Amino acid sequence: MSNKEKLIASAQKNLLKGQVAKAIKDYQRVVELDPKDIRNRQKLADLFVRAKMPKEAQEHYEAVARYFSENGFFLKAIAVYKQMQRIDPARIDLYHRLAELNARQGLIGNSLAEYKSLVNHYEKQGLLPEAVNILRKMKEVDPENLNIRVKIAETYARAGMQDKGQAEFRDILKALKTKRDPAKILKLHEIFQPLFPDDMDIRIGHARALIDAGDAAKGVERLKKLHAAQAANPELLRHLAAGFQRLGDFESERAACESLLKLNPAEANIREGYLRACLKAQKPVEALEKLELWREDFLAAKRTDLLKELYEKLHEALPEDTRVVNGLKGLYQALGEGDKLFDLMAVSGDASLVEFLEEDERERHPFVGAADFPVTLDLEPEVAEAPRDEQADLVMDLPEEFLIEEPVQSEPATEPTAIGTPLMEDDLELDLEFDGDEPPAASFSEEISDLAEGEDAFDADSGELELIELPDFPTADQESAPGVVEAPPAAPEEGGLDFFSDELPDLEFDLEPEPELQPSSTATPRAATTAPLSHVEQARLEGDLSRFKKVLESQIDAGDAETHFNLGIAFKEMGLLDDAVAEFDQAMKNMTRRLDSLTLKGICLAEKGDLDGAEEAFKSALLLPDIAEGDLCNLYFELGQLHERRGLPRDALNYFEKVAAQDPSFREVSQLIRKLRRQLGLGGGDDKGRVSYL
Amino acid sequence: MSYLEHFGFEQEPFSNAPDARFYFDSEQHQQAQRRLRFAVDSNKGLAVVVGGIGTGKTTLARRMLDLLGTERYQSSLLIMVHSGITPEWLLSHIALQMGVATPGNDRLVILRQLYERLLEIDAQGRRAVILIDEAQMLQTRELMEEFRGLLNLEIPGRKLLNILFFGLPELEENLRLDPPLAQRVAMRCELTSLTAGNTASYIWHRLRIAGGQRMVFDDDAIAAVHQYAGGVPRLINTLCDNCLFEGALLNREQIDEKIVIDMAKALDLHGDAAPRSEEVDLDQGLEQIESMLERLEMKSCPLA
Repeated sequence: MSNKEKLIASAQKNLLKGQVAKAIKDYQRVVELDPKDIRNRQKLADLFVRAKMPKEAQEHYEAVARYFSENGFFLKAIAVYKQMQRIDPARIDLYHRLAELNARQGLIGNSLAEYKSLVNHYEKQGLLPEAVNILRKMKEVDPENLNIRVKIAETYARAGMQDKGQAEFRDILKALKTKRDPAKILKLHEIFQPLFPDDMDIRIGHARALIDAGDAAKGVERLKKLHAAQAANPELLRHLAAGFQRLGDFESERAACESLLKLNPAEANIREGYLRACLKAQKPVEALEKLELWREDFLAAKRTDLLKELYEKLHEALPEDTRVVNGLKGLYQALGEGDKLFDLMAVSGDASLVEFLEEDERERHPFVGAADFPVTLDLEPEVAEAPRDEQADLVMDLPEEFLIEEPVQSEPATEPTAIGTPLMEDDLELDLEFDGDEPPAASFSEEISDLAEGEDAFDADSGELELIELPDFPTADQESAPGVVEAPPAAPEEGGLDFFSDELPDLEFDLEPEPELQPSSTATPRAATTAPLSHVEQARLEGDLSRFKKVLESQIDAGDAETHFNLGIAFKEMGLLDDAVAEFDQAMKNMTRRLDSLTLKGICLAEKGDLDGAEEAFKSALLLPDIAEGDLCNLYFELGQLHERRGLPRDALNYFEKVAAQDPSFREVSQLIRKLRRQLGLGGGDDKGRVSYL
Repeated sequence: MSYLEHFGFEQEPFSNAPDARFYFDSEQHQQAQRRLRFAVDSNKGLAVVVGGIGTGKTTLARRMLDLLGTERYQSSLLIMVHSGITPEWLLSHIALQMGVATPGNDRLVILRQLYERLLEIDAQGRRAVILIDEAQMLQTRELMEEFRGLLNLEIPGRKLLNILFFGLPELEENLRLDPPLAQRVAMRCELTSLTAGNTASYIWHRLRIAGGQRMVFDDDAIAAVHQYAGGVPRLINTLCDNCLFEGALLNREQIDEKIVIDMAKALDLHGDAAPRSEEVDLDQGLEQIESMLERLEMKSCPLA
């Protein structure tokens, strides 16, 4: 036996005798003899922990962790660093290393958790720039996580770096707008408005967010107050118009648009909004007058569809108005919509244009015959004659491009076909059916929203994502005082973009700083310059952002599950049971490792003495489908042991007998059954009575 | 230092003493187990397991006894140790094992007592099962007829008693002493020696159960074990046990082919003597193996 082996044997003997100090000496000599013996160095570190010599333990763990890290055993390195962190939770460098190692392994959640601890620490110290630096690293690790960016923006704001904070805020807002999530946009404003109380854009944005999230009354109320101070703010007016529209107050919407027109008289979208508002406010005459004025501009902007839609609506409201009829005729002709033109002429009795229309129809529908026009026979002559000149006028008014699109028919179709009649009737019916349908064009509110920084109008009821549940908290300005914003109803989650599930990790524990790390009034002058957090705000920062995570649990892919699972095992081997449980919780999010993770979680919890938790884990595992016989035996066996520990021998026996029914040689189940049956005074547990020799 | 310490075992991996923990669930054992279980659960009456010496019949019988727990079964394993048993004695013993407190002296009385007891068991929703190991020792026609009589204890729709025979292939000759009984065999299983691959798995299985952390036999050693033991588990156990002892004496970390060959020679095992059930002269093979095992036991005494 080599010297080293002798020393190890000696150490083991000493440990059996409980002589830890002697065992430490043996292992120290082992490590001296073979400095590269990582396994025994780790044992030595473990013994130092047992001997309550944390400094020495850290020294050797450090060497072990470095070795693992340098040789690619990152999970083992993580486990060792985690052990070191447990021994000395105030060592900031360990959080950094753990965060980096976890990130390298793709364990994003763990990495963020370590960073979050650092953020907490720096925040408590009042070292906000350092906190921001860490948050930036978090952003690098998980760039899609908007919560990190929210936190960065908040931290900037609280550190007095308003510009940077606002810039971050706008980036986040942009991202949220891309995701079309009014509820989250509202929450974002609720967070930031108190941080930037003088920022008019945020206040207006907040009001608009209320409107889009379904609380239009509150949003409009706020906008009205802001309008009193900034009557000439076009953005504000746009949102106000949208708010009124949402409330169904079309007269006020029209008035808001009118005010906007005064500021931007030539803007096509505002004109459109005004016209639509007039129509909805039952003021078609005003709409028509303006439309006649702006028609050329719309045509120039190639907004013929809009013109057609508006004229059609006007025609419904003012069917006798020749300006409307002529406008429509010109448009139909320009757009090649002969059916509608015909229909319009039939309704307006313009018989003089029947021939023209007939030719046009035959050109486009060669099977349509003369017999297809019985409707024209019903036209009243005086109405039918009138519009020819007006139609001509309209044609004169149309730009050349429209005239070119409709070539004059030189050869009228003269041969009717047998199938022409029913086809024409069908077409007519279809046209009639579609008459009066809502236009497919974008609503004014959408247009208005598009103008406002490309913002989209949101329908509160159509939100796709889950609601972020942040608490309401008091705002500094008076406008929020009358009614705290109520969260709109949660939108359906399915199909949503659950980016909040990539949440800031839920780190319940805070750093427990050593005395020298405790913030002092002299050491942290910046803390004094920063406004102290209110209780509500502090609670929100500490808890509610992390609560996002709990809203939904995301699935993880098999590779991540495997990594978490392996790390869990590494933690378990290190005796870091809580950390192991956390990893198994992660790993079980993927089906491939769910059974094993639940089983090992149960074993860890049982080892910790949390028998209820262990039982729950084992029973959850039993509910999984397609459990192999061996796994089933294992779970029953663990449950049996659990109940035996609880002093419930009958329950334990029940589980052990389930194991034996599957595999009587499974571990020591037969002996346990015999023992329990004897203990319970039950027969049949002993083979002796059942085996005899003849 | 014992070889247990030397190789890091918690217990002897190759003891021939019955121990359910070492049960090796080979494919043929699994299959036999499933079939026997089916035979019992569906009250088939008589099932037979035959196999050469050391192929795991007793292990399977004990395994079945473990599986037939008292909750659902009234089960008993009778191990025949001599062939001079009388039908009355057998009947009385079976009645006792089935729970008849004081079997009578008269055969008919015992049969009536047994029948009533079997009805009770059936009323409890349980199955009555008698497992007979070394059943080849039941060598008389009277005994066979007695079993046939027991199998006739039935109620409409099902039999009240199931009998599982485990024995050497000659058991089938005994069954033929009473042709109607032979006809009543509802399930038959045959255990054969292990293949080379199974031998390796078997060795690793036992090492692992004994607390071993690594395969201490190298590949050539395993092949040699299979060759000399002929795939017979009991001989594999004996040979491997000796190899481990020798390996520890020589302070070897690994058992190589040379150690296996030396031990096989010491045990008077011959590579070409691997018993093949279809080729071996049964009586001669039986004598050979029994004499070999006796020698082994004698040799193992000073080692203990």
